[in-house]
Amino acid sequence: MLDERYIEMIDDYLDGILDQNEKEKLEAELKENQELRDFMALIKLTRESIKMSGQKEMIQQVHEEYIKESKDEINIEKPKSFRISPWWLGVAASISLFILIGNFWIKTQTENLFDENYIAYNLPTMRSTESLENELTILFKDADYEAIIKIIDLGSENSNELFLAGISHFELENYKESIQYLKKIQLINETKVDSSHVFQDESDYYLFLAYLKMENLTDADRYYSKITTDMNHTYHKNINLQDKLKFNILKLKN
Amino acid sequence: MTELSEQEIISAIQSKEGINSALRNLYDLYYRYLERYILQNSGNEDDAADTIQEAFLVFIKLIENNKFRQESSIKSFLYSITKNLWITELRKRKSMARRNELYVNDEKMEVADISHAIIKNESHKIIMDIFAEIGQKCKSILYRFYYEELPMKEIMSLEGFSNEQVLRNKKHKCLKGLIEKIQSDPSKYSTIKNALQYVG
Repeated sequence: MLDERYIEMIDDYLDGILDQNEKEKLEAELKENQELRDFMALIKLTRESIKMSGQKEMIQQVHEEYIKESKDEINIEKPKSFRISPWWLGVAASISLFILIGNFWIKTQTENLFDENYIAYNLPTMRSTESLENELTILFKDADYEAIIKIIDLGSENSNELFLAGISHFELENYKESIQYLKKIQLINETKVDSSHVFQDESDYYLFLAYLKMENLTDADRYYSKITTDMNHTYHKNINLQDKLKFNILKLKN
Repeated sequence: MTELSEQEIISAIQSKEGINSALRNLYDLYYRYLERYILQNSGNEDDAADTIQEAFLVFIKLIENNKFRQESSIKSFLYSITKNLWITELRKRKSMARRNELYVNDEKMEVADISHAIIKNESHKIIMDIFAEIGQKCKSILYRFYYEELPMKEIMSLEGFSNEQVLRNKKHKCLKGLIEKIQSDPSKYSTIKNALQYVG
């Protein structure tokens, strides 16, 4: 174990205030002594950590400020969305409003709900021994969706491939085709003996969005209900109170 | 808030001048993007908040140590840090994301630096926790030296010392006490020892 003298010497050395003689002696000893080198690394790491404690507090302040301002912005932009008064709901659901606003309202609201909830699927890095999967992964990361849908057809039984094709069709706004691929994944999951449901939550979410985009609210509702009623669903938190309200009004009007 | 260029952000972090507004810029630009990654990979909003704050801390450290070589954008660099931190956290929880295994992409030198920084970060976290528990006087002196980097004379005045050598002795004593605490827990010290090879 190295003694206290070394702490002082190394600390002064790192501060650049050790006198020349002692500096040379320490540097010579450092070359020969692994234990001393490790001790110096420990002192450096400790000094860095003290500095990081301050930086951590600074980041925390910026974080709190950012989160607070983000919440304030939402409240300023959409104050009504959090005031669900019976009066407002009554008006929204009234026949006269249906007639007045009609299909245009539904169209703009489905678009709006879609835009708020749309998340581009971000492919995690997957290690695969299959060269086709590797090729598809690269194409997907390059956003070459056209190439992907040329390679994979609905006959595939591989859920990874089907999901990439489903999302590629989705990105190309071929919602009908996207639905076919995503539903095939769910069919494969249903027929599995074990409980490893691959891409189940992801396919629920993109099926919801695809049906929403096609203004098929009955089918969208099936996936919407799955996501909102299951607290453990990966996308549960992606649908907020405001979205729930909008979707329920859309259903009422449909 | 004025949007800063990548170079302005890096300079602000290196020089400590305007580091707050540089950080705020990064938050405005990338917080939601990074959060989305955590939310899509079995995390919740609290996980995202913790991981992203830690990612910014690692990012600052890498910039200070000139390990960000600008081979990639700040956005993808922050993404790699966040991803690696989150993978480390998931492994700790022993509940790897159910469907898609996540692996570190090691194509670039910067990614190796990130990986070393994350190993060091585990030790930094242990030391920061121990530092938080030491006496207030020692904490304040060490903080002023190593975080605020104040001149000796200013620290003397702030901490009520009339002699420079007495203050220096006190600082050494505080540092010694902290190092002894670090070494006193074999399991934590073993984690720290593994990280020493990455200390530059």
